[in-house]
Order: sequence, then C-alpha cells, then structure tokens
Amino acid sequence: MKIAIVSSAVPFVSGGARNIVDWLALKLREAGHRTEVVYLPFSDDPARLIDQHAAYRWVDLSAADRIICLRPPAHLVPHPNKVVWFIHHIRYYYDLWDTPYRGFPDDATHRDLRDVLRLLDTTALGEARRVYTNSATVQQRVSRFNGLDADVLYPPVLEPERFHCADYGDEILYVSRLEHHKRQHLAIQAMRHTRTPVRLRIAGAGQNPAYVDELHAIVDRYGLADRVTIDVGWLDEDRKVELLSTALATAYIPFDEDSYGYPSLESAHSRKAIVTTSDSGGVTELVDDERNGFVTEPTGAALAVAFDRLYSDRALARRLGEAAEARLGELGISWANVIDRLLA
Amino acid sequence: MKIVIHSPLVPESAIGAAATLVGDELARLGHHVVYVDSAERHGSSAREGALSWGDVAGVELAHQGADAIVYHVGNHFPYHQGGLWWLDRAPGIVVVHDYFLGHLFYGWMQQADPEEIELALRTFAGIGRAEFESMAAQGRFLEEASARAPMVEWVVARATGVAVHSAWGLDRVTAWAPGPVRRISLAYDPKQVRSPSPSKRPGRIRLLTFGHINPNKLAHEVIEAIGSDLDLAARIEYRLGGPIDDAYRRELERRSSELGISVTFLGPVTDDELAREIADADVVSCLRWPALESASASAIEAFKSGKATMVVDVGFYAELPSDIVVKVSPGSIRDDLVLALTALADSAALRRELGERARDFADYEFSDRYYAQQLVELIHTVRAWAPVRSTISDAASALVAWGYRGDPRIAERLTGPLAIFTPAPAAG
Amino acid sequence: MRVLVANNMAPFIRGGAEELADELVRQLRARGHDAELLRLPFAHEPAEGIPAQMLLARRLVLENVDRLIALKFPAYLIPHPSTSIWLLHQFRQAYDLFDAGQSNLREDATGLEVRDIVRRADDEALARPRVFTNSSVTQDRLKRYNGLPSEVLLPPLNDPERFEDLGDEGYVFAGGRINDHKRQSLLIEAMASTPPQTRLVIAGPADSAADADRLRSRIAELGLESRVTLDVRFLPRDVYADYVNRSSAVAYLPFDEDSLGYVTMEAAQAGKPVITTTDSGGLLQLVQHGKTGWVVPPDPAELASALRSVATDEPARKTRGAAIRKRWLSFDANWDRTIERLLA
Repeated sequence: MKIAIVSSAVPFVSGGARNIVDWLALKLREAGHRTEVVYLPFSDDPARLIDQHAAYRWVDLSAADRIICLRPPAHLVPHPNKVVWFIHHIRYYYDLWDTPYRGFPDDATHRDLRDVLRLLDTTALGEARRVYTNSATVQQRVSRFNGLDADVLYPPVLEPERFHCADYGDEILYVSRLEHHKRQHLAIQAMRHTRTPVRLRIAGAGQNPAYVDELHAIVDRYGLADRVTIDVGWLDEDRKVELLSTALATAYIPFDEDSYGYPSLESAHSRKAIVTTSDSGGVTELVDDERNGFVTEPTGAALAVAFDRLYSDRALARRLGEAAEARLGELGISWANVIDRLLA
Repeated sequence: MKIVIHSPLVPESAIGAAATLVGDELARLGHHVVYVDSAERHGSSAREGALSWGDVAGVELAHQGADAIVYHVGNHFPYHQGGLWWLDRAPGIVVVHDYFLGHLFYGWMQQADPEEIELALRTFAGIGRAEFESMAAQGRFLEEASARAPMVEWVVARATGVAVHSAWGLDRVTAWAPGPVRRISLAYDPKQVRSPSPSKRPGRIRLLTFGHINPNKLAHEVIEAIGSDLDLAARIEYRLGGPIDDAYRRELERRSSELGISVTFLGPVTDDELAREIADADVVSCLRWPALESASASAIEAFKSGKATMVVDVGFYAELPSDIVVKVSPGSIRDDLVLALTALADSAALRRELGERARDFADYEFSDRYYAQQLVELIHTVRAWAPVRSTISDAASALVAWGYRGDPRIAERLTGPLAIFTPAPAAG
Repeated sequence: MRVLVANNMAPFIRGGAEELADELVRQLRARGHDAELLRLPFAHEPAEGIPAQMLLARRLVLENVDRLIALKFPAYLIPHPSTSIWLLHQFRQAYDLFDAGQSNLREDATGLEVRDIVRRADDEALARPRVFTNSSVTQDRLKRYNGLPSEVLLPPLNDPERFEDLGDEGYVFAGGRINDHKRQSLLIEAMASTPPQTRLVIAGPADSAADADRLRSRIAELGLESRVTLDVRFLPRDVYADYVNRSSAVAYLPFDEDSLGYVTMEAAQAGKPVITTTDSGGLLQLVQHGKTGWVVPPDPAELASALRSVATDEPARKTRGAAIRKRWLSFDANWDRTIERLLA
C-alpha cells in the first residue's frame, strides 16, 4: 500500500509525536509498504486556529491509498481512507480549559473558538474509518468531548529486542527527563525511609537547572549520597539498555500523564518490575499492583516499602519483572499489532 | 445586544407583524432594537423611530456597533426591496419567511446588472435568464419556478446565519447557507383580538381570505367550490381583505356574478379593519397552492384569534396537527373544499372546537418569547462562527485577487473540503 | 539562525530538487545554523485542485523560524516575514510548457483560469527582494513572463573534490538519469556512424525498466555491444566520479533543461569538455561550441561528427577541457557563497 503518515509539528521543536511517526514509518517500510511522512507546520496561536484548520483541509494526499493521522490537527486532512492515531487533543480547548495552563482568557471569543473547534474535531474524527488513541485516558476524552468510540492502540518502542535481562541487581532505576512533574524528588525522598541497602539511580536530561539543584539538595540534606546516584544528561541508548539489564526494578512516577511512557515499556522489555504511584495516570494502564509492579500511594514512605520488598525478595522482583514483559503481549504492544490495526 | 431588524413595516405585511412582535420581545428582554423599514414606501403608519431603508447614512449609523443585523425576507418585492439592498452591503442573519422567492428575484431583476442576473440564475437555479423570463410570461410561473428556481438560495448564500420556520425547503437552504441554520417556529401575535361585532347577519357564514390577494391564495377555487352547491352559495358570504390586482379582481367578480354568489372585495385594509374582519369571520381560508411560505403568519393570526381555518395539506401546513385545521388535499382541492365548507357551514360546534384547539396550539407553539430566545441563540451561534467566516472570506478575496473567476471545478475543490466548517442545522 | 527550507513533495516520488534541498539543510547545519526541511505535499493533477493547494500554502503559520528559504511553487507562497526564494523553477505548466502545448493545464476554461491564478500569484509572491534563481534560464523566464528581476545563484556541487582529470581512457561518458527526456538514444544512433575506436559509456538510474530495455535493444540491433557500455543503476558516488574523471569527454543532451545540470557541472569541475545539443537549454551557459565543448543540432549525424572530433582531435579536447573548467570556476558556485546570499 502507499501510506502517508500525517502529523503536525512546530519547526525546531522535537518530541511530541515525532518518535511515533518516524518509528511507524520505519516499521511500515519494513513491512513492505511505500510510506511517506508528511509534517505540516502548526502554531498554537488562537487567532490563527481556524485558519490553520482550514488550510489542513486543502491538503491533497489522494496519491496515498491510506493516510494515518497523528498529532492534531492532522486529522483534519481529508481522505477516503483515513485512520487516526489520536495522541491528544489541542488540550487548551479541552481538558485544560479550566486550568491555569490555558494561556488565554476565558472570554466569549475564546469560548466560541473552543466550541467551534470541538465541532470541527468531532466531524473530522467522524470521517475516519477508525480512530485509535495511545492511551485509555485519551480514549475517555475522545468519548467525553467528541462522543466517539475510539480503540486504544499502544505505541511500542523501536527495536524492543535491544533490551534484555542480565541480572536483578541492587539498584532501582528511574530514567526520564529531570523535571518537576516527573517527580524524581519523590523517589529520592523514598530513600529516607528504606531499611534495606537498596540503591536508587536517577538518569536523564536536566533542562531545568533549578530542579536538578533541588534534587542534589535533597540527597545532601538527608545524607543519601552513598545510596542515590544522579546522572544528569541524556542517557546514551546502549548505556540505558545496560543499566536496565542489571537493575533490580524501575521507578516511573510522573504526575498524571496521559500515557504510560516509553520508560515503562523499556522496563517491561528488560523484564523489570515497574514501581509507580496511584496518581501517575497512564502508567497504571500498564502496571497492576503486585502483578507486574507496584502502584503505591504517592508518598516517599509508600515507595520505600515497595523498594524494600523488591530488594529483600529477588524471586518477587523476577516474577513481577517477567509479568511486566508478558503484560506487553496482553495489551498488544507490538509493531505487528500496531500495523495490523492501522491497516485494517 | 444591539440588534438592527430589517423588515417591511407596512400594516398589511404579516411578515412585518411577526418581525416587530419578536423585535418588541427582544426589547423587553433588554436588547436595544432598531427597526429599518425594507418596504418601498415608508408610510406614516410604520413604527415610530423606524428608519427607512433609503436613509443610507442613518442605517449605516445604526449598523455601527450592532451585535447582529437581522433581515426578514419574503417574496413580495415591494416589501423587501430595502432588505435585499442592505444585505449586499451589511451581512447579517436572514429569516426566511417564504420558501419561494421567485417574485422577489423577478422584482430585483428589473433594475439589476445583466451579468449579475445571469450569474445568479446559473449559480442557484442552473438556468439562464431567458428561461426564467419565459416561465414568468407563461402564467405558470409559480408552479414551474417554485420547483426549479425558487431562488431562496440566492438570498441565503449571503447570510451569516439563517432562520427558517419549517423544514420545508430546508435542504436548499442548508446547501447554500454559509453559516448556522436554525428552524424556529414562527412567532405571531395578532395585535388585536376582538370579539365579533353584534351586527352580523345570522344564518350567514362569513368566510375570509386576507393579505395580498393573489392566485396563490386560491380565491378562485373557493368561489368555484361555493358556486358548485346551491346551499353553500346561499349561506356563504365570501370576503376578501387586502390589495388585489385589477385583472384578477375582474376575473373573480365575473365568475362570482356568473355563479350568483356573494363576494365582497374590501381592498387594502388597516390593522384595525383587519382585526375586525378576522373577529367577525366564521371561517378563515388560508389556502396556499403551490406552497410558497416557509410558515404562515396569516394562519397563525387566524389560530390565535380562535378561528376555524382551512389549509392545503402541504409544507408548513402539513406539519400542523390534523385536529386544529381542516386540511384539503392538493390533488383534489375543489372537491375537498366543497366537503369542508359544507361541514363548517353546518356545524357551529365544529367551528368553535377547531377554533379553540387552534388557539391553544398556536399560543404554545408560536410564541414570541420562544422565538426571541431562539433568535438570540442563533445570533450567538453566528457570532461563534465568525472566525470561520473570516477565514473563508479572506481565502475568497485572495483567490479573486489572483484572478479567480468562479470556475465551478476549481470552486468544488475549494469548498468541498470546507463543508465541515458549516454547522449542521439545529431545530429550535 | 533557525532556517526552514521549504520544498514541494510529490507523494511517493522522489524529485530532482529533493537532493538539493537535503544538501542545503546539511550545508546550513555545517555552518552552525539550525535547519529543517519542510516538504509540502503538492499534487499538480487535477489542475483544478491547484488553487486550493495554493491557499493551503498561504495559510500555513510558521512559528519559531527566523528565515524561510523556499524552493518551488507553491511552497514559496508560505508566508514569513523573512524569506529568501531560491527558485528552482516556477510551475512551468502555467508558463512555457503551456505555450508549448505540453502542460497538464488544458486549454479549456478551467485550465486557463488556473493558469491565470498561478501567474498572478507568482507576480505577487516573486516580486519581493531576495529572489534567486538556479540558472539564467529560470531568470529569463521570470523576467519574460512576470516582468520580475532575480539574481542567479547556481546550485553548487556537493562534492567538488571528487572530480578531477585523471587522464583519458578513450570513452565518452554519458551520465545522468536514463529516460526519453535525456535522449541517450540519440547518442546510440550517433555511435552507429562513428569510427570503431570511439567508445561510449552510458551509466545511471533508469526511470523505468522500459527505458533501459529500449536502449539495450537498440544497442544490440546496431551491433554496438562492444563499443557501448550500458551500466543501469544508481551509481555510488565514487564510481560515478571515476567514470567522469577518466573519460575523454562527457555527453549530456537533455531537452530544454532548466539549469546547468549536475552532469555538466561535474564534467566541468573535472576539466572534461561537454558534448551537447543546441536545444539543451541551461547547459549553454557553460557549454559553448568551439570553446568549452561541442554544441550541435540534435541529430545523430551531427552528434556522430562531434564524437569523431573528440576521438581524433586531442588538442581541441584538451583546450576545451581546460576552458570549461576555467569557465565553471569563474561562476564561483560554492556553498559558502550560496548560504551567504540566501541568508543575507
């Protein structure tokens, strides 16, 4: 098939759906499909919102047999065979409307814009032959705001075969950008309450120097330097695979994220249990308490209990880790499944 | 909100009555309402403080700062000439009172640019001027044009939003309206509901047709029906209240004289006179064929006056409950009329029951308060779609600046994908 | 600076200018700029769909971009306050191809209207400062059709260091894509009436298997297998350079090419005289008969005589080879200058 993957992007800003788009293209080509990736520029400016939505309607991708649309408003592009893999709404007009994140006033003009946008999204999504979301959270939002039934289709990591399990060591590993809402500080706080020699390693890019300082300060204040390591900087892929292979388990405790996050997947592929908290959001779609990890109260003390249990009982650590890997199969988190569903 | 309402304000206009009824309710709700008389002659009996459509400076001033401009549009060109003129210059919401706007278009044509006429006919009816004019010349204008060239699209294509009063012809409207469309039951309140005059002749049944007496109101059919039965001819007194074309009047006079029935031509009537006529009528004839109106202010006037009414079972009238009016079938108008007139003439009780049920229904369904609320909602929706309108009009201007001349294949590629930007019609 | 390069994309077809666009991005990054490529989908069929796609370009919003470099229609309609246009070509279907009766725009009402719309949009969009063209042919057309001035900025070679004169191994090299437009078949016909010692190497990717087969059968029919080598494939760069560097001359005879042509530029860089035809278009800026090569009517007999000269007249070959290199270098087409002009 000739497939066009369509997504929006702000020039020079990476992240967002870029990984999924690029990996999906790779996998589709591997499966023998001619694949074109279309990135269309998009700006958040409310005054240009409708203009850009109209512009996307004039994109002609009729040369493709099918289009797969990701980051909005890519789903506005018309095509008789459109499949949407919905990553998120333009959230300021949806679930973030009643929050400080909105960024523009709650006045008549913007309320009107919000209402028009919701209608446009609903109609455009309705044009698709199937709508998938990348998490149950987004699935619920699509149902609530657009009245549509979407299926959950979880995005896999690229080349999961790179990950392996060598050993269950002494270290709980937390790999993620060092940012307040990822709550590395909470993981470190947990180490005040642990009773076993369990260790914690935090690794990730630190774009927020104040936060990085805060993390170091907590370590110093409570004398945790011998048990907590902080590696600031984007972790090299090979190094990450290696650290995961020897970790005892992983922690992933962001506050209320939509989806489970690649670190959780990487942990599962490495057969390591995932320790998360009840308010982390999408991770809890992946992790079941005491089945393939722990879902604790979002407190240092509760996390410490989980860390200690894993340290004291390696068999448990192994069992939960293996279940974590198995869960991926249960949820259909694989490229084979993704391609199957997107091309159905 | 500041709302400018364009409407005929002449007393005989039922549309004007409906427009001012709703406008007054809007004013009662706290909005600042300005009226502009769209009729050719702005008489002294029009509302105080209303502007004449010819007062360009005055109307422009009124438009400044308006939250909404509303155009009440109907088929009679002399009543709506001003509305058409301003609609081109000041976009606004169009309230479609008549589904058939062929006469309106014909009137406009007499002084319009030939290229514009041709473009409009081709775009909205797919016919040329010659064909349209030949329809007009042949005396079957209503029948032919209402099917092929009602020209309602020509008006709604310029609207920022549209209100219609029934589902009749809704598909033509939604195909061309570039903004929200809302179906609102017509509001109508007769200003004066009177009790019948004491000097009525007993035993005689008064039948009334009122408004602009044209063939569409089937006065000639009523005359034939009455004349076909001696009993009806003896008992029914037919009164026609409103202006009538000389030739048509002569024809009706001739026929009624031949048939020996009593027909009174009242000519143009004042509000007061009309109210008295309706009060004194035993039966009101609101027959229309072909169906042109999207709703009937006349019918509602009759209902709210508690009168037994006859209608043709089509369009807006078909949507009415069958126990509040007498419906005649379009396929057998004359026969059904004889039956209907006989039944109504025979039974005062029947007339009274129908009248009461009609009044109850109309008071509920065609209330000005409800209409005003719906109109306000439409105004809000139209405003919400403003960014869409500005995107589209900006794109249109850019194209025209680049030399776009309206090629339909190019147009389809532009507007087809934008269909999702037009909100689906809402029912009030 | 954050520089966005905007090019068209014909979905699933890799166009000629895509290499240049990629190279431009690479060269920008090598000089320390952030550079990204925007590939705007553009379907030129059916013609009536072109205006809508023009509006699409016009309505896109570029956030986070300091400079836009646009290369083609309709990409150069994307608005940005700081734009350079490096015009590789206008939408020729509305211009010279239309006049030549070779356009996809039919001469009906729709076609004429689309043509007018394209021209008027160009009149507006190309009237700004910082409009460069890739050849004097493009420059002339812009002047002739739209009355607009522009500066010629020749696309540089991406790897000039590969091309040098490594001697003459006695064959004429015909490089470039193999298709009807490039007219390798004329050379084959010409070879039929050249002396037995003349040799020809035709090497490059064929647009279709049929294109290659046609040449192959003709070579066989004429019994030229021992003198004409046909190497049909996408040539690795070193192989291609070698073919050029060891040839006695390079033959390139496209019909009415927009620009100089990479084949021509590479030949000149290596100091190899070029054989071409009077109707080859942009090449004639560089290839002049008697001075830097041979320019003959597009006729096998004429071409045969040029081939004969190359084989027998060594002084002419050497002089013209040196002259073409000198002339090419005098154009000063290099990436430093190109980037400097585009970002000025």
